[in-house]
Amino acid sequence: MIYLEPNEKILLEVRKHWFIFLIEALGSIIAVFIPLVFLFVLNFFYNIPITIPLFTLFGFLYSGWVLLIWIYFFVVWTDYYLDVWVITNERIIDINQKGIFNREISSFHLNRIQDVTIEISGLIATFLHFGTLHVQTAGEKREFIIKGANKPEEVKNFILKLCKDEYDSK
Amino acid sequence: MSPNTINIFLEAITTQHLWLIFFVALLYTAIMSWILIYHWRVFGTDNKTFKLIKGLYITVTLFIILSLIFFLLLF
Repeated sequence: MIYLEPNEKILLEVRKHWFIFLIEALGSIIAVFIPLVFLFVLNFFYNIPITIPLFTLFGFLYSGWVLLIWIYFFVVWTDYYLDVWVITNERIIDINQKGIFNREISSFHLNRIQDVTIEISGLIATFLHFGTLHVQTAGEKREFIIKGANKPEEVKNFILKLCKDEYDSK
Repeated sequence: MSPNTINIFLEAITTQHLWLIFFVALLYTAIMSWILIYHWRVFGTDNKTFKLIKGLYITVTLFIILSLIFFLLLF
């Protein structure tokens, strides 16, 4: 839960790119097919007939397996989706979700921002537009980083524009 | 692995074993669902997305549990 100050509005939420989520969730997607491959191998290579009792037992165990993977998939998605930078008209709130029970929240005001840097490296990152975003501040915790951020160029421009508006308004 | 090995395995498995697996899976699902929904409700910043995800999650989870029951009764 984020507590905003009076007159503070959420302007943008920055998350990691969907490709990062896809890589993290790839294991669960592959795992869905493992028992089916196992059944195929039993039937094709060991000539074991798929009888009705075997089919129902397999159906039961496979449903249980899919249920576990389904839950695991949402644990990964929750970790991905709650790991976010919330940009408001006054500050940036960095929510670092590490697993399901580990959460770190820090925030810094726009007027403390000293430098915004982006780093896009690699073929996939270039074509899918994701990369690392660094924000340096004058505070105690000097650097804030989000790796694999979606459209880092746009986010950088957005933050710099907000900083300029903030500076001009004073 | 031979068909005989599979038959021995099938004969060793009873409905009670499957009911036990079912209830353990159901308990695990209930606990994990509570944890996930709590996170979405308390920490979520975008209610619309979380409502959609919650609906999808609950619908598919129920469908899988029903299929577990179906195969259990069929066994």
